[in-house]
Amino acid sequence: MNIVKEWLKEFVPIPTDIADEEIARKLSMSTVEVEGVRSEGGGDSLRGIVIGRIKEINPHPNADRLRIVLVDIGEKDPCSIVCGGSNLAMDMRVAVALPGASVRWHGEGEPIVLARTTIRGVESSGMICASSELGLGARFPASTDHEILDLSSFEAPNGTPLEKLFSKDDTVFEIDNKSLSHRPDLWGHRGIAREIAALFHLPFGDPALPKIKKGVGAVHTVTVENADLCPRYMGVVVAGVSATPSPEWMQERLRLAGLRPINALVDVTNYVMLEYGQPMHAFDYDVLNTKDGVHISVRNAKKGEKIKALDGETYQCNQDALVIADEHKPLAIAGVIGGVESAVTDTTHTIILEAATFHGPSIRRTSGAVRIATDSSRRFEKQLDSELPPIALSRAVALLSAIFPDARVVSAVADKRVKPPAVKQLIVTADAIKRILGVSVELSRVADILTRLGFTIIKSADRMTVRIPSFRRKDIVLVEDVCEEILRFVGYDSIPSALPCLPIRKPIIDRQRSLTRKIKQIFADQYGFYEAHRYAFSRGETLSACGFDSAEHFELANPISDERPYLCRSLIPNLLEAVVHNQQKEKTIALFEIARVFLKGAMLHDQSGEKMRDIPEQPPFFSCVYSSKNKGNHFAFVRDAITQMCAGLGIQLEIKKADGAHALYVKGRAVDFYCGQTHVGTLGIVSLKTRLALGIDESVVAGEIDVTLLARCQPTPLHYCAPSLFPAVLRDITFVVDESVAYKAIVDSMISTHSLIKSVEPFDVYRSEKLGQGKKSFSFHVVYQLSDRTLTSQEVDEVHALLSSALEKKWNAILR
Amino acid sequence: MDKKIQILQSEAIDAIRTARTLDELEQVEFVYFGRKQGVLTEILKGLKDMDAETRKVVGQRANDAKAAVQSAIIQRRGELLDQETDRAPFDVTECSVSQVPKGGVHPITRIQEELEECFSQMGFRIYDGPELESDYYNFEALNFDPDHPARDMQDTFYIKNLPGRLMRTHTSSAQIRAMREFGAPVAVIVPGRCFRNEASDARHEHTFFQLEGFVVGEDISFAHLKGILEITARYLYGDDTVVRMRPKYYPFVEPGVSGEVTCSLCRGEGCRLCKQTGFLEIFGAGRIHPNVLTAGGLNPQKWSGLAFGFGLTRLAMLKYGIDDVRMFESGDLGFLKQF
Repeated sequence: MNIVKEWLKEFVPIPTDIADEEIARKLSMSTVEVEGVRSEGGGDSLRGIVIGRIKEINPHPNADRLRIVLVDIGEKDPCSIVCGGSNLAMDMRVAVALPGASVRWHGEGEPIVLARTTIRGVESSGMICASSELGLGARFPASTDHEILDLSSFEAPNGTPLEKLFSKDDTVFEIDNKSLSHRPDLWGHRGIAREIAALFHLPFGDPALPKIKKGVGAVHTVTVENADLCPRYMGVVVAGVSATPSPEWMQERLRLAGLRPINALVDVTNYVMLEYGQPMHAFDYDVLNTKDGVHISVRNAKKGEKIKALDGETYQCNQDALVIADEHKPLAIAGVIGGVESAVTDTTHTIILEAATFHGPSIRRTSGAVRIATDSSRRFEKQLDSELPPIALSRAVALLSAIFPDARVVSAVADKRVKPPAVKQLIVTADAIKRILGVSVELSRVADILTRLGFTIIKSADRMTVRIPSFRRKDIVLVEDVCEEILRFVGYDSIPSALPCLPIRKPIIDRQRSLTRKIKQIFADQYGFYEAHRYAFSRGETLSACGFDSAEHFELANPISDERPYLCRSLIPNLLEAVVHNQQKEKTIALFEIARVFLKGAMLHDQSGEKMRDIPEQPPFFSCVYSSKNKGNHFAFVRDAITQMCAGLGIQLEIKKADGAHALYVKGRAVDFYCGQTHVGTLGIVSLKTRLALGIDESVVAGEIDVTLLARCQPTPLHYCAPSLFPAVLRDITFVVDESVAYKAIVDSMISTHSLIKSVEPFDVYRSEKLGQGKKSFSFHVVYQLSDRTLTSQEVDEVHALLSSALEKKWNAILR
Repeated sequence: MDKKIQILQSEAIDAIRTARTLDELEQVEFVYFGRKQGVLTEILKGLKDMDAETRKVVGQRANDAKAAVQSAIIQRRGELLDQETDRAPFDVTECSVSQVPKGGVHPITRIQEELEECFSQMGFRIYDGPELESDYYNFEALNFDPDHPARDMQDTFYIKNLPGRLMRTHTSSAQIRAMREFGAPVAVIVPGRCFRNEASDARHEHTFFQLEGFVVGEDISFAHLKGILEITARYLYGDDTVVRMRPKYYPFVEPGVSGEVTCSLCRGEGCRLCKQTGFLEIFGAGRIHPNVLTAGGLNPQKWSGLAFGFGLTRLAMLKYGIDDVRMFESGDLGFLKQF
């Protein structure tokens, strides 16, 4: 919303010694976010600039983008100007800066004085200006850099100085609409003026508005059928008006505020809206008049009812939407947009002026349902003050009377209103303020602040009764709200800092959180994986590439451009996308993620018993992917990383060869992780089908573990054993076995061969044609040790021989 | 004899000190300690032929001399070895061929864990709620009007065939759950992932991380809010950081503020990052609205609270100078390897 400084002065006398920046700063620190302050040129700063009409446009001999333009500036000879404007057109009215005038080049920097000059060999006796070069950027925003100011809508004769058209300079404050979403009273100049008056200790006053005198000649009745949605509806008929342009001063203010002037009738309703925050509407009385006048009803839309709106579109409203209608048809979608049939046109000379109060949430729903937001709906949906319509109506009638000498009220003022709500009041005590703000504020000071903001105060020694003005009924409900008003004015800086005192409480050990943290550390620091974050949402194609059924996933009702509609139930698909993303640049891709997955199935019940609060199970999963151009058994690497990580956390995982149910993995190349009887996760080599579908070049190992299940596993307690004081003896052994013999089975049987064998450590696994088909060779260091004495080499030799023959017997091993 | 040993000792030590190579030193050692004709070896061998009185005196002397000479040898040998090593070329910057793989945690994890530590030290509990939430916890219980703009379809992701459920739009959704679980008095932080339905570009992302914090006690005032925000800001940006507050509306707090801190880049001078204001907007905060306490099962007559929240994603962007928010969820190793 744009707030025009000169306009504010209708309500508050802002002295010249208060800088615009200071106003913006104080508003920002205490009331609303001011996003920008722009000073608009006018008066003296436009000296030497005149309006002209383009008579001729010729190419420039030495420059493609420049033109030689002849402009009639009301003198005998047209003026020849070199110009690069992108929107130059014959007969266009333009602003011509003559030598001696000051302009800002491209709207930047300090003004420079123009002189007669030669541009690329052609003389130019002036300049055709862009709006920003004249400081008129707010009134006439340009859509591109090279656009010159188009004044074709002005009728002033050629040669008229611009200072006459734009007599005053002004300042525009750009306010962030979001910052006043809870303050319906601030959606017009009057509300902002009240805040400025309060902030700078200036008097605030409403200009006197004459009460509308009832007239005769027209009949206008109003019936409100749904008073819940329309607490107040006012209307009056004014004759002797027409849709001619509004006066220049009004157009000027509308432009500065960011609205395009249309005609006096529309402009007056917009002007009042920008001034008081109360949207209005004007209907053409004669169009609606049947024999006995116009009978307006405010009612819910009927089923299938359609309305062609001012924007040219036809809308069909839900039955809970409110419409303004006559006996035959809807005329407007209440509070949102008017209909085209009853709109003012060039032939209009009698209008019905409307000002109403609607139920905010209803307007919001309707505006959402028909998908249009207007200046009107944006205000109504905040729930406007029902004291505003009579003020707005009076102001509009006064403005029309000032513009049209023949304007006259020709009906009674219709005013349908439910009983106005009682004035709300709050008891505010010094104690409450101290308790809420943490600092004492004298009640007299509080009274002063609130009075300046329009509150009424009835004071006694230690408490006061605060009467809330109607325009703040929406946002001031609690003593806390009053405290915010105090805070805004005493300043946030004046509040001291303090720290709360809380008792020491029993710790609650969050095993899942501590596991999560440790897993991240171990996987990153020890195994060289990088933690990635991926979206919680998956693509359908990726899911199906991974062999997942999208029907088993939750789906967003309103995804962004349908790209990722599915909620992940595994982190692997999105991590595999990251593998594709990285594979051109990286030799090794080792990624993991810990994030929630969303499981379709039984809902978690809310303790309140309210079914609508039940939510799906969404446990955090740990997932990793590994792919490398380096040689090695990558599957074994990741499997060991996971099991060793868990062992480090006290959790012994058991590995079982997966039964082939995982569509994502190559059959037989996947394992399930168990902790006791609980299946906690899987790991495998990603199938070729999936890789081809996703475009992954190298083999990938991928796995996942449910962290909640892991957190439930009982950790194995650690027990200390005193280290042996006697030396260990190492013997190596190498043998060839069938591929069908599992490594783990071999190791288990070696260790159980004899009690002297303390451990076996693999140092080579070897496959070669020389060994024969289906054969592999293992090499181990075998560690022999006793805890109570030194072994003799004879003892070791005997047991080592025993081990060899056991391997031969049990596994058909061939020793090498 | 005594004199002789003394001379021998000083001769030996001279010879040791002047030995220029390990070979020369070995020669000297041989001369004195050689098993057969070593001068000192001879003397020590001769001790057994002496009378008890002389043996005691001479033996003491001879052994002292032996120890002194040997220690001189060890010292000289060390010196010579060092000299020899010095002459061999050595590059302190040379690479190690056996590579230890390097990994790393996500920048959000780094910053989140840092803050978790800060708040744990202050006595805050760490809590997390579900990401797929019910409308009740995300909006209704937090005092959002049924027609609050944030409930609009364009801001919130809803779930198909699951009415009233959504992807949480802020970590504040865990407030009510935590209040009900822990009761009062209590101090809690909730770091976590949030979702807003908006198209992504360099500065907007539909997925982001927040950290919510709140305190409920018997007399929690606005001054306490200011105290906690100052501690947090100074923990993040240094002791000279100033916190500035402005009014801002959030339905679940009253009074509500937006908190700004001294710009971390220019320290308040004004720069491009802070748009010449000297301050960066970091927090949303306020005193917990009584309706929210009631929803959390706490009597607002007895209890009061403060709440604050900030974007971890935004903090990470500021801290590491990341200019494209989409990198966080990209899984790009060029990005991840820098943390």
